[in-house]
Amino acid sequence: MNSKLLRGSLETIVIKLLSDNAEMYGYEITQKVKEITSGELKLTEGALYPTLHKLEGKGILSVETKSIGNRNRKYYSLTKSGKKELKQQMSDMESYIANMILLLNPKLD
Amino acid sequence: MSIELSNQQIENLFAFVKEKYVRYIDVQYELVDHLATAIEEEMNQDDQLSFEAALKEVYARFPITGFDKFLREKEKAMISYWRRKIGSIIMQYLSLPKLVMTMMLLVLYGTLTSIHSKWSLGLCFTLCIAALIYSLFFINNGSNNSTSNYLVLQKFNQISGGGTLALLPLCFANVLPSFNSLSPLMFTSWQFYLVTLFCTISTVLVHASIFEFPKIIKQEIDNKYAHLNIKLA
Repeated sequence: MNSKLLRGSLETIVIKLLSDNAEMYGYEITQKVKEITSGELKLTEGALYPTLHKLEGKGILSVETKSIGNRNRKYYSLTKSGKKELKQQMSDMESYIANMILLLNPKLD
Repeated sequence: MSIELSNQQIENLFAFVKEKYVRYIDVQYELVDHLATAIEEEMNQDDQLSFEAALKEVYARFPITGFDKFLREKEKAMISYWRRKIGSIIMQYLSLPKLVMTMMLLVLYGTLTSIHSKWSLGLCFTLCIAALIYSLFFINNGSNNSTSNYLVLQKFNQISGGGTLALLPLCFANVLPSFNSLSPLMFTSWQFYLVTLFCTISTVLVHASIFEFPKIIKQEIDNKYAHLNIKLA
C-alpha cells in the first residue's frame, strides 16, 4: 500500500481505534491495524509515534502510565475534545472517499 | 508459555536507547516498553530467535535515523502541550475570579502612570522588576540539576519561563530614553496606556509563575510520571 496515502489518514485511524477501545498502547495500535486489515496496512513506529505525540500535544489524547511487570507502559485514550474530533474526522473522511470515488470512477453518459 | 523479558534484558534496552542518544529519562521509558513488547512478540513467534536478533529486527522498523525523528516529534508535541496548558492558565486571568486581580493591577498601574512623572513610572518598573526577580530567583518551578534529564520538565521550563522576560524590554523601550534627560517626561497618552498594559501583563505572568505554574507541573508529574520518582525542587 502507498505509504503516502496511509500517512494522510493516520490521525483518523488512531482516533477511530481509540474510540472503539477505551485505552491502547502504541504497539497494540500497530498490531490492531495489522489484524483488522489482514496485514494490508502496516503502521510503522516511525509513523505512529509522531502521530500519537501530536494528538497528545493537541489535547485530543490523554495518557496514563501503568506498571506492567518489570516496566511501565503508556496507555492512550480519547479526551472529550478527541471524541468531538472523531465526528469531524469521520465526516471529512467519508466526504473525501466519496469525492475520490467520483473522481476516479466517472460515470459515462 | 509466552516469553517475557527479564529485568537484565530490560536494563539492556535502557542502555541501548541511551546509546542511541535518547537522553531524556521519561522518553527512555516510553521507548523501552515499545521495544520490549515488540521483542517479546518476535521471540514468541520464533523461539529460536535470540534477544539481540529480535532487538535488531525491531529497531530496523524505525527510520534510518533511528530514534531521532521520534525524539524531534516528541519535543514538538511537548512544547505544543505546555503552550496550550500554560495558555489556558494565563486566560484564567481574563475571566472571573482572577479578572478582579487583573483589573486591580490595571487600576494601580493606570493610577501611577496617570501622575505623568518620572518617579511614578519608576515605581511601576520597580514593582515589575522586583516581582520578576523574586520569581526568577526565589521561586523554583521544579528546576534543579536533573531538569534537563526529563523532557516534560525541560519543555515546561522553556515555555513557562520565557514570557515574562520577553515583556520587560518592551516596557523599557518606551521609557528609558526619557529618564536620561532632565526635562519633564514628554509622553503621549497612548504611551502611558502602553506602559500600564505591559506592567499589568508582566505582573500577571509573574503571579502565575509563583502561584499557578508550580501546581500544574506537580499535577503533571503525579498523574503521568509517578513511576519516575522525580523530585521537584
